Amino acid sequence: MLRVAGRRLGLTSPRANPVASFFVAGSPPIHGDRVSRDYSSPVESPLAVHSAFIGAIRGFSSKTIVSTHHDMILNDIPATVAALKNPSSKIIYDEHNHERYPPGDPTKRAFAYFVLSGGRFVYASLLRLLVLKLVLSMSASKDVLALASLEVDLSSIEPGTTVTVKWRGKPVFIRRRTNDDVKLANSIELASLRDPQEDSERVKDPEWLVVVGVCTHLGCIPLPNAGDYGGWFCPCHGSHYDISGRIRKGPAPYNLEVPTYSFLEDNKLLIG
Amino acid sequence: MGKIPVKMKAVVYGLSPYQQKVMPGLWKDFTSKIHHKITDNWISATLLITPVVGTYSYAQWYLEQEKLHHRF
Repeated sequence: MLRVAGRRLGLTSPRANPVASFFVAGSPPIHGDRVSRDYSSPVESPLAVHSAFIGAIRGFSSKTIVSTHHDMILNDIPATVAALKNPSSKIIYDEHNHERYPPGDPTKRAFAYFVLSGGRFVYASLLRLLVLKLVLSMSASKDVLALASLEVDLSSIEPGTTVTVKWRGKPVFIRRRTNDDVKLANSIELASLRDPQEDSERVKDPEWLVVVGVCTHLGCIPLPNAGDYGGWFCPCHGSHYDISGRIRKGPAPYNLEVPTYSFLEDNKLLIG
Repeated sequence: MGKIPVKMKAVVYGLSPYQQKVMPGLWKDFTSKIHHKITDNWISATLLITPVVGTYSYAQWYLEQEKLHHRF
């Protein structure tokens, strides 16, 4: 363009006025622009084609995108090459399935994560449900729980006798003690015991002694009304228990265990 | 091992999923989707359903005729 302007300037310099030559010295693009504007058409039209080609190649065109490559002069460029050479700020996406938000809109990340976390809560509750189902299926069933507690009628037990009942697969000794037995159980000093326990903390009612009939040594069943202390005697290794079920002699480390029990009304005992 | 992807020359523009409407594309232009489904598949649906319905109705008709025939 400047070369054309210079040629135009060289041709027309004899006729140019001083003002025009001053403009040439100061700012040539303005002068060239003026020249190309008021110049005749046979030179201008190939110039316009040339400048359009230059613009398309350099990627200055903001209106040419991939789909309109036939508008360009160069039809033999492949479409992918044309797309690479014409970066555009107006990209058209396929909005057949997902419509695009207007370009100025903020990101919708928060909404997406909100929905996703709602689903994750559902997954978590489902997982918890399944895990609890599996774990609780391994816990005690209803028929086992039905045998958990035992109700014993105490009215038929004579004083001074021991009754053995089966509770949770183990024997439970229920002894109706006489006053002499209670006095004997209370007369023992605690310092001489291996497992010191008052008689009052082993029984709820001094008349009734309820102990689990399993020897604390190796799990044998002691014999009632035997031994050196009037209580129980374990025949396996010779542990002697007294009238309160406390260990007095032998290898057993602890007293006979007292189960959880409570007295119901009219001579009923609930063990467990 | 073994699979070599075929190379293509393509220019792909992708948009972030946080800048698109996720759900409304499902019911956008719903009637034309239904129309499209019907016009595409009515022959197959006919070929699938006609033997079943035809056989069933023929069997019902035959049983009815047989019952009426044995009635005295």
